[in-house]
Amino acid sequence: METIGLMAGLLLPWLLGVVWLRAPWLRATAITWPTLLGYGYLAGALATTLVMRLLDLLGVRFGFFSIGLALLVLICAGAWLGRKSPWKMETLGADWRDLSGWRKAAYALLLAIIAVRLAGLGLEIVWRPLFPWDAWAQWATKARVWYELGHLAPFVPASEWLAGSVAGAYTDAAPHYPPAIPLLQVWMSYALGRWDDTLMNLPWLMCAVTLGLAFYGQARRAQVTPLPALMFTYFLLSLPMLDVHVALAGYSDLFMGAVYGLAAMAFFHWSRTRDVWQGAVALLFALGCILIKQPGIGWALTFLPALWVVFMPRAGTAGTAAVLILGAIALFAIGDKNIDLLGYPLHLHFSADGTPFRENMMAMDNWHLLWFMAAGALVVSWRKVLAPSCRGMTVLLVSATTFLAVVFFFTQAQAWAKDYTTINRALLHMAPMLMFYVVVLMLPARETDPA
Amino acid sequence: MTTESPSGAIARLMQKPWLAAPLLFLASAMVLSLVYQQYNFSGKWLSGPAPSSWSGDALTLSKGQGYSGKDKLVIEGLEGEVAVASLSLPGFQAEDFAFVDWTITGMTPGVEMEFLWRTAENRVFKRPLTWTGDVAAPLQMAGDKSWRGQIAGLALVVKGRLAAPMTIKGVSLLSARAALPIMIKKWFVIERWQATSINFIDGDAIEQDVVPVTAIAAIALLALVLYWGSAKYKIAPLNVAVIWGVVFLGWLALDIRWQTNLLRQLDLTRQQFAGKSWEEKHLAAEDGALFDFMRQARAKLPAAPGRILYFSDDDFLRGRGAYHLLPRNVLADNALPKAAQFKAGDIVVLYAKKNAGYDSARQVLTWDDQSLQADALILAGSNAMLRVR
Repeated sequence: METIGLMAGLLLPWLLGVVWLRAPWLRATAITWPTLLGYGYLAGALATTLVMRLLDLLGVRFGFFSIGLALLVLICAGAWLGRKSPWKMETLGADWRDLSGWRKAAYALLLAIIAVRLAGLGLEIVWRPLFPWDAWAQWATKARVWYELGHLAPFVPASEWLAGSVAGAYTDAAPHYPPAIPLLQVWMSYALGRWDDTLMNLPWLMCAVTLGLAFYGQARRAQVTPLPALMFTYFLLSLPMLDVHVALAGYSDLFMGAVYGLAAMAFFHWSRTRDVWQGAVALLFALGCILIKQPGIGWALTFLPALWVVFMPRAGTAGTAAVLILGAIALFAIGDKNIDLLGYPLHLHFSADGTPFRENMMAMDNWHLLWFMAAGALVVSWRKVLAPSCRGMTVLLVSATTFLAVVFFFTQAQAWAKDYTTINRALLHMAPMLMFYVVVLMLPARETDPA
Repeated sequence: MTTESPSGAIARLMQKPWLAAPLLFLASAMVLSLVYQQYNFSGKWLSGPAPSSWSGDALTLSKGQGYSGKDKLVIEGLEGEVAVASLSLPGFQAEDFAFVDWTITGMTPGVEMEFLWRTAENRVFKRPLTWTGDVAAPLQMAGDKSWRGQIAGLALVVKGRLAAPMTIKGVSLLSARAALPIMIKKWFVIERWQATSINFIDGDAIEQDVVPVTAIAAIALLALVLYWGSAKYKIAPLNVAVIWGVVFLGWLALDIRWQTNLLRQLDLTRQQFAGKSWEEKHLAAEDGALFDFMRQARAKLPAAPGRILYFSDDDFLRGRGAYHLLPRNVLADNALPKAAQFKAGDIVVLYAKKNAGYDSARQVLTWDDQSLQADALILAGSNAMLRVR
């Protein structure tokens, strides 16, 4: 019974995302199954948390049936809306069945390696009780309370809690954090029928699986042939820091990276083809970043310069460069100052110490060869960097890098870089996007769009 | 019958991407490993004596308490926070052996170890032992200026506080020929999940002579350069598949190391938690005692919802303990607030908390210059759960 519940907990959001991403106005005519399934789960998972917030707003007590029924109604509505869209999806030229000789063997080997990896990570989730620090200090705290109470009890800072100024309020290490991640755990707990801080984290495995599906699908859409597309999917799913965040589930960073990465991949395709589905999905997922974590606002904003460049290539490029330069001057001019940004109290202070970055990115095995490969790709393909097909993604990458540079070189977050606590988690947010950028930069797209 | 020239054979091999990429990668790895060995052990890595090994029971415990037997020496206690295990030798030439490898188990935090050696001139030198995971890293002695001449004795000094007995299983002297196997062995030392794993892994890498990621990147880069050279001089046609094949092999090499670690960790996780219920898993976890205390505390809490104020000096115990008390409404803090901020009916939980005590006779909780009337619900050593009157 519990297995059925868990399956329902994973499949209902997935189905919800899939049917709504086939809605007629999104014109899902040029996407493949891996793309739809990949985007479907993450869209559905985020939508599930929004449904739960709406139910709470309406005063409906959380439960498997209240949430499940709402999801079911929405699934039916989505399916009805997309009833005229054919379920047979487009195929992108040669698929794996058409591979010959060693390529087919290599494809099968890669699939096997990915399967072993994901199975192992899944078992870690299933066996190990909630382990990493923030997971029990600021995420699952809310999940536990909301699951038991059946509604979104407020979380307030310790001083307010002690003063008793908000009735029924709880407190934890980060009371102001958005509710999406704990709500996913709450939904899984209802689906399971009891509190279990191991099994409630299965969405982290789903996140990795569907990130891989979406990545593969979008790489194929970029006309990358099946074997290299799967090789890069393997590269992505084998990143040690990504794997750690699946195995030791409970942090929001994996979802942040997946949602941002999916937004970036869709943005890349939209910027080249103006495909409605890709554009709509890019927008939805960029906004989705905000639901996950406070820095998601920053990640969502990184799309603005890229959008500017896509619409006005020359003015956008010059403007973005100007904003970068003026921003840097302003930051140096401001000097030491305390400000509050996106809920974070920031102490502005410039200090550029690259050692922690070099050690974490290129010496310790947090990322395998990702940063070497990215650097190599930029050097080898420097002509392509500002070509029309890659310009938007390049500016997105520059925006993302600038965002991290400002955070780690101009604020007190530099201390979290020096003690290694935040560097890799922040880099995880942009890792899927970067991997996709390497793909589009390095792999020559075929001339014709395969039918 | 025609005879194919060597360059023709190479060209033919290089036209097969599935073969060319591994060959290039292998060739590059060999070149770089030769360079590494020659640079570090000029000439000596080609020849050298067979390893010399002694089991733990060959050592004499000249200071500290313990016993030897069954090929091991067990150190059970220190004498003035020091234990010394020494080994007298017939003597050997230091230059013949580039590595000293101690096999030790039971190393606990708070203990430091030093390797000492005595020369024929009766001079004594020392080097601290370093650890990779919970394994003593082989000491590379080749670069040590004091490691020369005739060596007459070896010793191991243990300093600090011994929380549990530790076992010396033996010591080996290895020639420079063992350099590569030792390097690979270091790369594959298991790294278990720890509190920092969510933030970074492979922290020991930056302490190693040869960092795995950098080494593999160098191998892949050299392979690509070799391939580029062979294409430039028309030995082989340029094929993108070969380039990606080399990158893939580099990635795979690192990933095999990572996958091996994941599988070994998964086995440890399975042994510790598989087949247990949610609560049994927490009891089996590293903070099992804390979970058990909080479970008892939850069972004794009044049914009516109320405030719980939980105090502990330790960051981990504080946050984790509060989590175990959920879904009850709990505040976790280090310092107790002023007594005026407590309300009647508040529950106070103290766990590993110094500077706060409960006087059972007077039924008073005291801390700093504050005091509060409270009833004891649980008193377990220095830990307690109280209800404010």
